[in-house]
Amino acid sequence: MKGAVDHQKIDRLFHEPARLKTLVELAAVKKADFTWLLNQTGLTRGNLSVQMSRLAEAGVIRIIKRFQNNRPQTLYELTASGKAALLQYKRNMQHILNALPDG
Amino acid sequence: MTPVASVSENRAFRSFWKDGLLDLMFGLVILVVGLSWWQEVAVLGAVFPSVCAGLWYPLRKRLVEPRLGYVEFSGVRDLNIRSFRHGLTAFLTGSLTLAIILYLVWTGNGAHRPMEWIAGLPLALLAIPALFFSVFTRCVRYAFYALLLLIAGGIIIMQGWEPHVGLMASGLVISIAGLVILARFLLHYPALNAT
Repeated sequence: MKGAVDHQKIDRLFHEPARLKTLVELAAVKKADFTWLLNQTGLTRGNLSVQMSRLAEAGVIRIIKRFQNNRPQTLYELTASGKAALLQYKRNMQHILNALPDG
Repeated sequence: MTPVASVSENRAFRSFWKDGLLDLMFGLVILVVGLSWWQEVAVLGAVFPSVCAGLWYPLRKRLVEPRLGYVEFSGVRDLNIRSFRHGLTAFLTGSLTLAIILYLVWTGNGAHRPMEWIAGLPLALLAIPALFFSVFTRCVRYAFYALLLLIAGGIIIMQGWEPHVGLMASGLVISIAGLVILARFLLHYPALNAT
């Protein structure tokens, strides 16, 4: 059928609300630390920590560990492939939602 | 990245400025300039804005970042934040130099007092950085500060008062607003990084 979306193409990694929220916040900036993401997403520390680990394992985000003012700092950033996959997810979801009647 | 990301980027950038520290420092600068004008200590009015502009970044690092978190914005915004500190110092120093020149003209020769409308000029000059903050940070409250400064300048001209009255009154209002925003921020955001 023309214009139909293969639902298998919907990336389930991005489809989970907490992960999607985190990725949207991360896509808005270049790099951010855990505290910034915690405040922006409103997730609990435990939940965010789990989501970040899962996203890092999948190669969607990169974890940068460094020292600033003699204190350890962990930063997160989207990888190029993660950014591309997130955009693809957005296109797929838009395609599906466009078919939804307004009324 | 996309139009959706740009909306969230704008929101994230606004969040970056929600601590009230900049408001407090801006208010204190205006208040101290007014006080220095009143007490005729021109050096204080000249030095204090540069000191405040220099203190903003270390204070933000110490007070705000452990609570709000660390973030690096992409491309233009990142460049803007870095150039913001230098721009802020240059602009406040320039504005205040003009205000000091006005003060010296005002007090130096009683026989040749400047035109009445010049009394409102220091406040109008300080409304420019407030408008600049509003556009740069996308926070509407700075536009209100600019409006407050312009209204105070208008009242000064109409009442025939000395400029320091308007400077001290508007500086006090902005300082209190900044202090309230900062206190609320410190209460609502525990220092997560410090633990």
